[in-house]
Amino acid sequence: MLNSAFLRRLQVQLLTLLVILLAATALTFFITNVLPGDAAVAILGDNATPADIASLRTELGLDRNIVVRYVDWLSHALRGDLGKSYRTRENISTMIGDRLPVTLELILLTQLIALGFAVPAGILAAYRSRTKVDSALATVSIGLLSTPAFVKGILLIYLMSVLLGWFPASGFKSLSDGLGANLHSLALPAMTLALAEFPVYMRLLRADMISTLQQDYILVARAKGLSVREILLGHALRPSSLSLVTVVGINLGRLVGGAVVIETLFALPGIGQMLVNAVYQHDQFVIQGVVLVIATGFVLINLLVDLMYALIDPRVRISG
Amino acid sequence: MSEWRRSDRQALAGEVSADVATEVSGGRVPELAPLLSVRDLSVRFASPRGAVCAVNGVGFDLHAGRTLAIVGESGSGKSVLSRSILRLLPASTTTQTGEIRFDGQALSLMSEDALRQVRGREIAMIFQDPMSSLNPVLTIGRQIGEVLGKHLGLARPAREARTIELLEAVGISAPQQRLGEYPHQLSGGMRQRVMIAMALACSPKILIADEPTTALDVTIQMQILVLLKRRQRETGMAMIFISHDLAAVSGVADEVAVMYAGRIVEQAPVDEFFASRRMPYGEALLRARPMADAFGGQRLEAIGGRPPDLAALPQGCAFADRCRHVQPDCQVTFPPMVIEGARRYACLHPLSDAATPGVSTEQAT
Amino acid sequence: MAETMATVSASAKPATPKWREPGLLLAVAWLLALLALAVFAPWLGLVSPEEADLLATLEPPGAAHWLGTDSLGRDTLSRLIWGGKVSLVVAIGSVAIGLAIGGALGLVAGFFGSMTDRLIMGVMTVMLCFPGIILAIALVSSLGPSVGNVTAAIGVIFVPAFARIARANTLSLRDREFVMAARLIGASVPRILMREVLPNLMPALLSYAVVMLGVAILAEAALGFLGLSVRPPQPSWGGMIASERSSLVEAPLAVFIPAIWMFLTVLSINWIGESARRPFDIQAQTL
Repeated sequence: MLNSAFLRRLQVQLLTLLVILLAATALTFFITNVLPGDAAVAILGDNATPADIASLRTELGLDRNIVVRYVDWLSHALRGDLGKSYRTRENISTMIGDRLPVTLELILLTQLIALGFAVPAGILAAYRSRTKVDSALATVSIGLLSTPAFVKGILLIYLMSVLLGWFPASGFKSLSDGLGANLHSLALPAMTLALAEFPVYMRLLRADMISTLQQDYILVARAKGLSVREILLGHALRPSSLSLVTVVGINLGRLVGGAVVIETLFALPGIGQMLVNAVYQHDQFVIQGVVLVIATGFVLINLLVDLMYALIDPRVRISG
Repeated sequence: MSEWRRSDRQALAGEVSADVATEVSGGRVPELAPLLSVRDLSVRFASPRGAVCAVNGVGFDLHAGRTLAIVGESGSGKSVLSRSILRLLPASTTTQTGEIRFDGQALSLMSEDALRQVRGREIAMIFQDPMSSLNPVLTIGRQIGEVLGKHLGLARPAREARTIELLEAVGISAPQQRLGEYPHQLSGGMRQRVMIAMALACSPKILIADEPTTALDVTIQMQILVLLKRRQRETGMAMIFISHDLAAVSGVADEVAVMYAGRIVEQAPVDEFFASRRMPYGEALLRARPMADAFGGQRLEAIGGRPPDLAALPQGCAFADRCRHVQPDCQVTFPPMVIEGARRYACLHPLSDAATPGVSTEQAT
Repeated sequence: MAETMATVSASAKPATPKWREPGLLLAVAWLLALLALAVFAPWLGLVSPEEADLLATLEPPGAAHWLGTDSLGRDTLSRLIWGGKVSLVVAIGSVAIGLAIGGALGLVAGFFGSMTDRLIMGVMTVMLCFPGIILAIALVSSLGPSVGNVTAAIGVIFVPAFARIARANTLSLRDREFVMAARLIGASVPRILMREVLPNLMPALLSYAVVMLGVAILAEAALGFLGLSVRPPQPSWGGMIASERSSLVEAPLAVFIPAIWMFLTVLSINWIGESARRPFDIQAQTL
């Protein structure tokens, strides 16, 4: 009974994951080598002599052929060894292991907050479409979309931290310091990012809901004597959530690196920060490692989104 | 319609005569007070061109156990009428006036909350397209069960049991399995049966059926009609049957009402209607069907012209500029309703019996 | 019958609530004013945006400095106007790049299909694997911060989005009658693309471009915040906010005035884009 087309698509997705990973990492490798700048120079600074630079380059293996270097990296990566940072000599896998959870937690909190407000708001705006409530929500949305994230962040810092003193303006407390402190330190950054996602989600849900509410089966639900709440939540919400799920998925992937501005603003030791610093310093292996992680996350999430479709709409998973 | 199999036609005829037999033998005395009473119902939509009058001063009575068929072209107002009874039209753009009395209560004056108690429970509706009328992401069991839960307060095991009973009663095989299935897994005929099961779940007193068989295979159509008729006989349920299919109407209706441009222009008991018509539109409708016994090359009789613009209804008879028998005063004077025995019609120059030869119900199919 | 109900209710309510109309006028007015200021900046007799006056740091708006000064005593209004030049150039330039390259790629992918399509869209997908901001950071930090590099970086980020839209629209246009007619009369492929497909693609691409103008300004601000836009002391809106961040507690206006200025600009762009969208908004069914 399970839809065979669906199963086949899953297989294709997994294959695509591999292809994209290869392509993304290869591309990154070649681009970072093409762009001006040199890791050895970055490490040693402007005053280094050419001899020093040359010997460091040999030490780091930078003088070998580019394809050789890529294959070398790849073979190590497949065994789980992502190498060491040129700069700090730290093990990259460890670094990622430390920093990735911070970013992931931030992203998760962001989506929870954003959806927690956007879903009720979207339903309300659709139900009360073209009334003052709808217009007000639309105006708030446009306003939120017109400010860059870091400005929202600074505003929130000013309000909640400077004026009210409720939340810390920067810094991160890990889970080992207690769940409460951990969430407390992530509250403002998560709220900031959520403010950017909220308008997009709300408008998406609103548009889909409005068109769902036009459907015949909603009229039938009314004719059955169901209440407004039963209809909105039980009958209209699920069929309207497909676009929302897609975009949430895309955002999850995007935010892994895309949260870098907020990570900088709030001094969070996340993976975006790690990547940016690596880029500044031409720290090749770090860049590779992080890109690998980001690309993997991206495709895995696409897979997850497809699975969500199957959950939401039975026509996808069950053949008719 | 003439493709309906003899066996099906006989089955339907059987149900109808069982109906009549019960009546004649005194098994069921027709109620004196009507179950549903509509007076002067009008529905107007706001539009940039002015108010569109989709339903214009409609009135009728419906008694328990009886079937009223409402026929007419697209745009005649029949669907709007059917939805207006339960006040399902969008409140922000629609103005509905007139009185609707059901079982002693004034539906037209009820609050929305009170009306929700009536919908699905006392008065139920089924619609034309069963694929789009069922929610694609909810199971059959859920969609039928929620009516049982909401109106009858049944708990889960009772809901399931009753749903299975209902599915069996409407002729769906393997009902236990269907509970967990989704609409797209069923055929068109089965979906319409599910719709009917859903509508009949709380044993409503009135069923409003808006073109229930139009979207179905001819072979299924008859089965659905038999099903509905049987249910009526068993429970004394009244039915409003909306259709443009006169053959189906001849099979199920006790009374026929013809709608044109938002008005009922003729209404009569079914036998009388098929015997003769007074208002030329009713006549034209009957004539406009392809006949099985037509000879090759015979022209199809269509009704010339187009339905009137509901935003700019004419002063006189709305059918005037398409009527074959039109007279000068038809354009000018609004034809009042005339009562002739059990029949009533709105025509200034009605047709006589001679001009409208009878069509037997056999021929009608 | 359902058509009657649907078509009638669709036109039953007025298209735009009355109070939104003045908003549109204000939005257009603001943008035009900004444009004029940016273009005529050198001739406006403004205080130099780079001239520091350490005796007048962090002043609130007043007679000498209409919008106050920043932490180095530089006139905020002047810096906002000159910074606006940067934002303007970056916004228009990057959208133009995205539109031209992305639109062309999407057009080709959609029209020719099969391998060409898969190849082009494959590259786009890989590009999308990199969060935009990261790509921009990588490009700018390697090539050096300047208006040109920032414009190019943001333009490159926009390419996949425009490509997707162009491709989707091309796919639906490809099978339309007028394209088939052009093929039948033997029109050459470039001619079909230029004369038949492209003009029909433009409305969708242009409306997206308008929205992306706002996004470009925000992206430039983000880069400026990270120190990756134009080099100081040349002003950029994002850079202004970044440099005054440390004075947030003592002189919040130094941060908020540039923030509000930028907000009004992007708001105006979005408001205009929104108003263009409204007539196509679908009517609701009330419950």
